[in-house]
Amino acid sequence: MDEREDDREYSVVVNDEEQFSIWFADRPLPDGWRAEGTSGTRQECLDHIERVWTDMRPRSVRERLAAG
Amino acid sequence: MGVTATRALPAIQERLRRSERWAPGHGSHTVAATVPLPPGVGRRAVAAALDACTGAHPALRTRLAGGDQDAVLSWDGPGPSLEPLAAGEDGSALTAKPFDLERGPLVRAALVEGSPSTLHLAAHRCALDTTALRLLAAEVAARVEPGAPGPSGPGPAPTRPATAPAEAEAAPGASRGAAARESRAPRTAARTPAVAPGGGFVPAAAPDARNSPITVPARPPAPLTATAAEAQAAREELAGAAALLDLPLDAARGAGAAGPARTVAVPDPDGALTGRTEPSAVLAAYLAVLHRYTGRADLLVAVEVDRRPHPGAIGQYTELVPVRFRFDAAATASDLLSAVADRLAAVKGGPVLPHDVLAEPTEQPPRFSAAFGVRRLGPAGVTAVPAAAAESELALTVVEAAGGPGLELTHDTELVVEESADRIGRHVLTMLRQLLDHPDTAVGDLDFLGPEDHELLRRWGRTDDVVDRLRTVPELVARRARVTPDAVAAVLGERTLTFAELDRRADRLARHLAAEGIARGDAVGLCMPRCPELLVAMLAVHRAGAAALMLDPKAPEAYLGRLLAQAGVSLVVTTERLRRDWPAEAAQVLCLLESGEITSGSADAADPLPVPELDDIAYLVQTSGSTGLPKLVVVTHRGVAHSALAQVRAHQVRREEHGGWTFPPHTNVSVTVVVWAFLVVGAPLHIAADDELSSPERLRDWLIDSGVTQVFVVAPLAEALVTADWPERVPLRSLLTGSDRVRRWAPAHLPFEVGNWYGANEVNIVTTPLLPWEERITSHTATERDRGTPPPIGRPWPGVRLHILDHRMRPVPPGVVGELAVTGPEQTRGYLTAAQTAERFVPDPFGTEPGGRLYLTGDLVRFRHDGALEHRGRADHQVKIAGMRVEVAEVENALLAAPGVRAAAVTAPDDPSGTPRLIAYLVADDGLDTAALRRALAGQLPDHMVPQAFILLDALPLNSGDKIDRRALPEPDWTALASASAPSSSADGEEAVDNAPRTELEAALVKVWEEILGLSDLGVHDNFFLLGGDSLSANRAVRLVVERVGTPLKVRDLMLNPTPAELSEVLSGGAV
Repeated sequence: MDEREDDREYSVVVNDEEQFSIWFADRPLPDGWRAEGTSGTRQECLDHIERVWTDMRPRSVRERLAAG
Repeated sequence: MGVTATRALPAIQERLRRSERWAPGHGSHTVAATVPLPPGVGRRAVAAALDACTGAHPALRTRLAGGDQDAVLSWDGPGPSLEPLAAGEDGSALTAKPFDLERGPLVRAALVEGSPSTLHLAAHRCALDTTALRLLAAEVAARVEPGAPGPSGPGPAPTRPATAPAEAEAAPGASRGAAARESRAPRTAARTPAVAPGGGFVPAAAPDARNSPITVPARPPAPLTATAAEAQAAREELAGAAALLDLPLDAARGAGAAGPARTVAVPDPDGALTGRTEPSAVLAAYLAVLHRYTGRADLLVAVEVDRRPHPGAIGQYTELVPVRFRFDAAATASDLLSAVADRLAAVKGGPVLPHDVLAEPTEQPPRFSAAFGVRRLGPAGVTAVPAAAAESELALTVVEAAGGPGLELTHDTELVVEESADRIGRHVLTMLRQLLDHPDTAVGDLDFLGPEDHELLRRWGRTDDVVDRLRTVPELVARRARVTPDAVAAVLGERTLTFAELDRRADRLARHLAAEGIARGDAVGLCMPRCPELLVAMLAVHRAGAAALMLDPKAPEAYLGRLLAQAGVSLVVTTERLRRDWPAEAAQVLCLLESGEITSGSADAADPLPVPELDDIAYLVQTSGSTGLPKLVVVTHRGVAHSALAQVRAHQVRREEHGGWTFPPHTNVSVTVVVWAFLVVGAPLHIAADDELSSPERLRDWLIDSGVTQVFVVAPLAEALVTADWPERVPLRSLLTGSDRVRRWAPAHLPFEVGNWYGANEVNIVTTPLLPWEERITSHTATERDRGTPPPIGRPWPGVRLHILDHRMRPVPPGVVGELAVTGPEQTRGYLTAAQTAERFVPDPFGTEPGGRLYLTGDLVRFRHDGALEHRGRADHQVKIAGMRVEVAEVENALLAAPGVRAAAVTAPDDPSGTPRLIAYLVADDGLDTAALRRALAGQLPDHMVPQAFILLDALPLNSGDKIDRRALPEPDWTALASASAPSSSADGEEAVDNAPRTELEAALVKVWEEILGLSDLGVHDNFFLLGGDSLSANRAVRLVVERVGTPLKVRDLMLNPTPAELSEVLSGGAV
């Protein structure tokens, strides 16, 4: 699966734990994921994720730690 | 009388003759048929009918006259005689003995007398093709029909158009219609009988062979073969095409000939085939399925073309035409259908190609993976294997019958088991329906898997074995300290550590760390060798609520500095022996002494410590990254605990067990797989010092002496270990290996079982050969068939769900190679870096847990016929060197940063011994000193990531996208490479390299090389590793050098200076 340099369009997606990933723009999203709003080439989506996903802890862990 | 004409050997027979030389008497060269006879037909009637057929059809007297070099086709050999067969015997007796191609007969017949009797016919394919044998069978049956004119009277005619038998049949191979040649082959009166409309009996026209001479033209018409230009065009078209495709086979292809073939009718319950189905549409569906099986766009299929001049001609007229299709997955279904229809028509109308169009005359004629043919339904009860099937692994035949077409699949039963063959047939029919139902869809988007496939993949891809009620490892170990405080937890040489001591020291260090300001969510660097103190330190870090960043104590400082910076670590725990000058980023160093003392700091904090939870981070472990920096994987306590407890169950770990620890201390394998599975049940862990790993014999002795019962050993070392001599009884009962592409099975007679498992740092353990235990796949249970292919990696680990996907993340059919994608309780959070995590941890479209992620491993695997997984290499540019994952981009980036290097590409081809070697292809400024480059890299990268050889090129090959075309990099010339460390002035080949030793020291080193490697005439520029040396022989070489030269030397010195010339410089103080 590695010659991943393709011209297909991808979307930036995010789950309830606020973990980011990418998904094929022309396919239905797997359960529990929503489109973040950005789409483009694979690399464009990954670059975007690198900028916006700054706290990589799952949301549940973050909230638990914040609660003490 | 008699048929005396001969002709130069046509391509079909030439190919068969050559094939016969490579595999004498092989079943693929023959055809056979079984003919049920009417009741009451006796031996005499059958013999007479056969004789009449022989008279009517010269092809029954085919032989290859004229010897090996100048063989010609001749029709003056003996015809078939009727042999008796005992009741119950079958026709296989007829083909058991090889045919004598030169003398004949090439057609054989045998009769099982009874009521009714059965006739068996067999022929070498040099004489008859399948259709001819069916025609012959029908003709014999017709001639013996009670009521038919007797053999001594006017002979009965066959049920075929009785036209021009001699002319047409004596010229097998004639093509483009015999009509084109008729003017040159004037017919005699005897060969122009009346044609009865619709065939049937034409008594007047049927000559009695024994009385009516059949004359044949003195020079039968030559077959219409390709012109020189046509043949050349075909050669060019086929150049580089692979006859063998990577089909989902159930066994490895042997070096020898094919296995027995089996032909089955493909069930068509949904009516994919109709009266209007074109054979070319079936071929299109077949190509689409082959494309999805192999991932290849370039597909070579042998297409069976019937060149008979008229439908009733008896002889060999079937040609297998190699046809190369370039499959375009983006084309629509209707485009594919019309393209294949055009192509098939062109092939049928094309010339007969020379026999050597694919292989040189001296080579074995290629066997094809895939073949395709069309035939008419034969008479009921007559069975025969089509030619395409005989010369291929998988042949698809469209059977045309009055009621509509059917489909037959013939498969080599050694390579494709029945279940797989049935599945393949089903896929072709499903694909056919998809092509016809969705004409405007891209063929690459069509789905051809059925519910049976999905159910099988679901069953094979998961296990119902669940390990629940997890507790963190620190909690479990603390409990052991309460339950069995005096039991031994760790052993290193003479030193032992009890559970109570482990607990007490860990607690002390944890409080110390807390006093130093380490709090929940922080990370602490651990840079220690394999030792009891490392266990103490790991537990202490966890008890302080922190994560342990695992550091390789043998890595260069610059490399470790980058890791510390990446993880934001400001405190490192190490041992006195490894204390070193840390880069400025790492502010503080704690030393943990063997006594349990801590060297710096003072006050023990008394505050209660936080309790780590399952989803807290336990470790940051490194894995090779493509950006030039190692990636750090975030491992949670849940993964570690699950790994330990699942092992306890799967490996039946009891308190009486003795574990062994041989992996490098900082690796994920050590901290999440090896060490805790024993401690959590209160069993001791035996720690191997580095010296114990220096040779397979030492490791064996250590395992025996320390009483280790279960151990996990990296693949290269395990392969050496299992070939050592072992006593009949040893404490060791289970040796697992993995973390590499394991190629060889361990011998069955070892006193312990050897199995191969698989995991990845990002998801930890994925498969095991031991579950379910009754079906375990180990050196003790492996069958002969298992041993025909490399050891599989087993079945899913408890809690794991895995999928094998194509490049668009669709499941591939059972048996087909694809990328392994995994999820499960040991899945990590990902990497410390966002984009890298997002790229590899993707939405899970198959799960029931909303928001779940699948990790894409980059490993290529496939399901074996029994559901066990086989590892088939990497999908990307990651390689494995000495069992360690290496991302070549990381090495390339380090090379590019070196002065004088302009371009770099790194690969890891297998050397002639099958060991992968890291090779760097460089474009560099003149005078690049590769020895100096190697040493420079050694300051930045771990040893296994330093290339073992450098190949200088003028330019790197690029593909159309201006990316490095790795497949176009030249194959390493291993012999030349072994001496390639010579000064680069020799690169132009004008200056000979002086390979002779110049000093006594060099001479001594050359001698060590020769002794250890078992070679002679070596010189000072000969590379130890490229001549076959490995880490074990390197250990021996270093001991020998130290013994003879008296200068201290480490294995690392030899690794970085692999030639006598370079090592001599180091020993005399000139380099380093």
